[in-house]
Amino acid sequence: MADNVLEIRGLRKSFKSFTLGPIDLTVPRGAVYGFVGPNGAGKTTTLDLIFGLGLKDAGSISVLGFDHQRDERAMKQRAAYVSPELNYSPWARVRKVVNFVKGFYPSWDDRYCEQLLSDFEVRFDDRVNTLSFGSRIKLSLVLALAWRPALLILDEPTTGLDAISKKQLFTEILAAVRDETRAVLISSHAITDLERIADHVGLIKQGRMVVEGATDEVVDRYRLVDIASEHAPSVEKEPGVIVQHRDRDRWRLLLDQRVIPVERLRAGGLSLLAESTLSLEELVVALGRH
Amino acid sequence: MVARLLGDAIQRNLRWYAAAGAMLFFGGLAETMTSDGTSFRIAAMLLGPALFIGPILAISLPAQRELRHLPTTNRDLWRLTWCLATVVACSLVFVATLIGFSIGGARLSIESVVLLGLYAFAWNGVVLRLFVMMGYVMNRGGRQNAAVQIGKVLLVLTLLGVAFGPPLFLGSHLPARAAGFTPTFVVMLVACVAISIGTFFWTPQRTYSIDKLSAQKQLGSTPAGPGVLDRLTGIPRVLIPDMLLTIGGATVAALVLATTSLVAGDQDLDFIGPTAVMAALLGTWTPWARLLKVLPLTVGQISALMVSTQVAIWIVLSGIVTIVGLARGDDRLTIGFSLMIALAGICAFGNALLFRFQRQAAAIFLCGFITVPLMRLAASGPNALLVIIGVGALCIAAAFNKHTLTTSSSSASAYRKPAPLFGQSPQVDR
Repeated sequence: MADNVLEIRGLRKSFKSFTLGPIDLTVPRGAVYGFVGPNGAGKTTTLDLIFGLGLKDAGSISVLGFDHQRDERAMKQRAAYVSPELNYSPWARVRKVVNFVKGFYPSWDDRYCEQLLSDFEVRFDDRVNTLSFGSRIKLSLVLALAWRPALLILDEPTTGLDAISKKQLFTEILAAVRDETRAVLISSHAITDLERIADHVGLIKQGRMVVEGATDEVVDRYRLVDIASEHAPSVEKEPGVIVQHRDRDRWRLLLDQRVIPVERLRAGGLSLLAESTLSLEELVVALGRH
Repeated sequence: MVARLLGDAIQRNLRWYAAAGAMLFFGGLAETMTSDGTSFRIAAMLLGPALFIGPILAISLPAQRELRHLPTTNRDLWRLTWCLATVVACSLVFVATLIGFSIGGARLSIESVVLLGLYAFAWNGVVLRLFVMMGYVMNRGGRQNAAVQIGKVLLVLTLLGVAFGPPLFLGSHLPARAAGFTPTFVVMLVACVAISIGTFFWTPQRTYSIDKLSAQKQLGSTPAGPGVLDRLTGIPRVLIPDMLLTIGGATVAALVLATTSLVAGDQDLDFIGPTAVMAALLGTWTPWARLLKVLPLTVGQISALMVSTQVAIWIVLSGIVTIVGLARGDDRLTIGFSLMIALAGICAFGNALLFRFQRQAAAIFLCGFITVPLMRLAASGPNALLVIIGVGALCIAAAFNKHTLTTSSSSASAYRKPAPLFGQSPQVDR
């Protein structure tokens, strides 16, 4: 059995004015992976490419060892996708959508589907057109969860969801990975929410993966340090250092400790005023600065 | 897998199949009454609905995100599209016209029904291929200045003329019996059937979301230089390009159809009906409605803009038709003031329906079929009646638009993003 549920290697896709990649992304079995980055970084493009919406220029994508193009059907029988962009209104009623979609998945669980619909307060007889924005996302979620996919891919799933539904969603996501055989990939801007449930994280910026790994390790890897210096500190332009802010002789730097540990600054004779860890959200903002 | 998708698509389109089936039945009935037994007289009435229930309905399926995320392949979706566009459509043509012919009398034989089904199969396959080409043109990325945009629209309209012109204007030349085939016709028919079948074995490139492409363009670091229209600011920036595009589009559509009509020897202004449909569909304000609503414009002004666009289109078109008529020395080829007002009114009403319900098919049916009696009336009836019909339709359209703009909530059909006209949105930036 493959250790990783999703493996993306060297993925590249060029548009006239935007280039995605090369990107490497790994979602291990049993992981909840938070895929974060600013608007236009390439998150949705990456997810679209997994499902074959558009052709990649280079690289490989495999889900549980199935190539996303060569074994397209087998791959899609293991990976589910949830997005506010999915619009099931052409099927008119919830019952019709459910009946249509379930035919594609042998593992579809009717009881679980009914329970999810009930939990999310969506009825079989509801007209899709009259569902609120949040309820449409809930329907999309039910259609993805009800067949217990090995990989659940969610693109901005919390958009438009109320606090109760958000909690239900996270409960279902955690239940999905409880047996350690499945995985969830969530692309979201709700980083505070993600930090609570994502055990792996990948930050993408301008089409490139900036950092990826276990959330704790990623967060622990960076430090925010305040130093006092009349002139630009000697480390300013070194790799692994991002200047966050300057106020006269006070400098705030973000350090990637794998590249440049805090001790090196001390050893270099710089006067460290403060050193602090960051939350995931602070880290995303800090890395997004440059 | 494809069978399941096919069953679902047929079920979802059932009302259109029923409507087209009824038209085909009555068309078949009328055909038996007018045909001399050797050629079809009103084949356009039979092949037109076949195009509608075929490629027009089917083309947007492969781009549907909801289907693309199911365990289906690109190939599955294309097979589905092809089956719907050709096999399902021509089966309906066959069954409905067979019933119509059977009831209508024995002047047309089963051979004629089979041939009609074959024509529908062949031409629907060709049009499906043309639609994919249109998708390539419409969704082409890169620099999108006004000249490129207009060029794209002109090219698409030319392709549309190629797709819809022959059934409309050459339909009466189609042999109803194999004995009437000429060698040239056989070659053309075989070529069309070959293209139709070949389309099944071919699969278009993977689709990519149009919105995504445009979003990426906005984020890009190499913006296109400012075009002439980019120098406009404020409300004119929103209004003028689309006004030009709408009028230009309808004009080219009319020219393409008029040329096809004249080449086919048809001098009865029969191209007016299809042009009316184009004019209603090209009333491009509908996608802009939400934006117009938040600009400093009153509901009355927006409504007036929508209606006056149709009047402007028909003023230009009537001028063109008159010039063409004068050039040919044919004084019948004119659209008088009364007919112009009547056509503008009908199109404005069709556009108002389109705006309210976002149902392109309803607008097509309405505009296409009301223009037929309107043309008869123009030939024989009093001009005053046409003016009354036109002004009445314009007033109703304006009131209807005003009501839509006043009462529609943000989630109403009027403000919903319309589906792409030609759903294929191919991968173009490689």
